[in-house]
Amino acid sequence: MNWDTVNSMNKTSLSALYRRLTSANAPALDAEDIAAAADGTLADDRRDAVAGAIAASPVHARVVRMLRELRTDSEALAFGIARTERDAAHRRHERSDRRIATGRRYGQVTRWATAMAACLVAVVGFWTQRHVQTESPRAHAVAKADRIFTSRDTISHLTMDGPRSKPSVEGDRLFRDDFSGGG
Amino acid sequence: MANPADLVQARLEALFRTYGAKVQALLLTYGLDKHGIDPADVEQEVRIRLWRALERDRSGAFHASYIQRVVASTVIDALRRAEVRAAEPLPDEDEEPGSVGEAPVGPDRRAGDVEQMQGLARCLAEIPERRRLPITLHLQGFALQEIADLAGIPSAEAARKLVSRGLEELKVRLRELGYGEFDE
Repeated sequence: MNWDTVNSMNKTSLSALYRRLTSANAPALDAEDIAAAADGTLADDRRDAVAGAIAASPVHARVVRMLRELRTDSEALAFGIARTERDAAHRRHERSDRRIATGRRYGQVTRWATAMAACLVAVVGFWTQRHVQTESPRAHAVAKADRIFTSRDTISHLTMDGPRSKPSVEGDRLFRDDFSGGG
Repeated sequence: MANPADLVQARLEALFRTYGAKVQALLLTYGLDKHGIDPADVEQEVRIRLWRALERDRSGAFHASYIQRVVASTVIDALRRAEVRAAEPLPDEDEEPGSVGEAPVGPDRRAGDVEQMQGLARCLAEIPERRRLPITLHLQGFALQEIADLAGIPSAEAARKLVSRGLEELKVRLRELGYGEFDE
């Protein structure tokens, strides 16, 4: 049924007459109310006021009807945007994953290099310590040898002075005794 | 190889272009261009607002209800601006969307119309509020399901009964008061 053009010879169209009657009306409806009315999500406490205002204003009624027809396209747009953004995010994620993987590889190499360097430092340190340790006992030995030599000298000196003279004296005594006994 | 960001931009632009074209077509279909708004301007404004919203929150979900609100606010803003601009006389009553397709109305008919409009307003005021809303929504061109949704009537069938009884009552009352016969 065409609501706009019903107008027979004798009968006036109520719809056309009503729209002319309300054509000057421009109720202060905000976009939220109009969108909610078009989506069928009007709050109960606003329903009568908003529906009444729409019924009293041809232009608002047209906006609501237009929005109802647009609903499917709005859903398609929302879906399209979400899909595009999801794909873009997925690609970003993949790139970031690749970057992380590359970073991880570099990280492993760095870790290996660090470990090797640490080992090298440890080995060099150990070797140096060992080298120092093996060198200092020789020096010590030289010093000791010197001291021993000195003590030998001392011993030798002592022997020369004391005990060595005693046996010679005793020897001399034994020799003297043998001679005296036998004689 | 094209930059991925450019590809995304191109895809979004294509989506907005398609949607904008639909908005423009519907604005014309519903005769909103006759209320002082330019459908091309509205369409462009809708696209700009949607782009800005998308740029503001790239990760946020973009729901259909939000898009609908953007369109509604853009159209309402445009209508209000057109009202403010209308210092010059508004389009003639005959050019109102409600009368699109009707034959030109002469002075005699106009005088009769004013009388009938007053009669209609009076008779509608006499109808209880519960029945008046479905009738007026019906007279504004809403379908039965739309009336049910808007007025909070449980079903389209219930809306049909309310509209049908209300219209009969209205016609009878207008006839009784001497305003003549009316069609829907």
